[in-house]
Amino acid sequence: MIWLISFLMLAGSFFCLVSAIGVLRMEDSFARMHVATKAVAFGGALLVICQMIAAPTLSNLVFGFIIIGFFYMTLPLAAHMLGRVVYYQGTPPRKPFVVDEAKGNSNRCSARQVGCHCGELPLRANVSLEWRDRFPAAARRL
Amino acid sequence: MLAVAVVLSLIRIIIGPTIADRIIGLDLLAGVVIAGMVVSGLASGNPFYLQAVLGFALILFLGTVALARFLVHPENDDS
Repeated sequence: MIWLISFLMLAGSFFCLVSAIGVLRMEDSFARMHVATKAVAFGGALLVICQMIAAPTLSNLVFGFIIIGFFYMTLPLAAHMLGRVVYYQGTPPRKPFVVDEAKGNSNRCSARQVGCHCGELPLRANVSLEWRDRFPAAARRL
Repeated sequence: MLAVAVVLSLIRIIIGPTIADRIIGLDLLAGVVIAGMVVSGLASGNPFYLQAVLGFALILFLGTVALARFLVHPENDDS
């Protein structure tokens, strides 16, 4: 039993280290965002499973399953939002995109920054910062 | 190994070329700190570490999503 616990603990720490090395060594923001969330989720899940095996009380089991489910629900979501940020900021990928389904998807692109991949011209100079121009209905009500 | 991972993510936070890279580094740092908390709870045998880990994971997700939305909609900070 102690060997199983030690092995799980070492494996979880090893995957966290792999994730850190990947984040340091990858050349591309997309690849970094990919490796920073998946490997950490796997390593953290291994460590929580190790805790659940070492002390299988009811509280530990319930909280362990909640934590693992939460990791696997939220970390891909955070990676998705970071990927959107990186894409719409116009960060150049290491190689050209093979499939770029968001190209021309300019109504979703609210950043409108220079060099954005969506292909629209930057509209930042035309967007008024005055709230009466941006919310005309509310301005008419007042 | 976890300490080495913390140091490597700190290096990425410092040298990150863009803000998104620094957010990725912060995400990784929080994940490694969560793993360290689990290991610490395992070493001390205190069962209350897992509840703290759950709270910390909630704050990690919330912080990452808030920073990402702030980067996508920088001008909508009043709505």
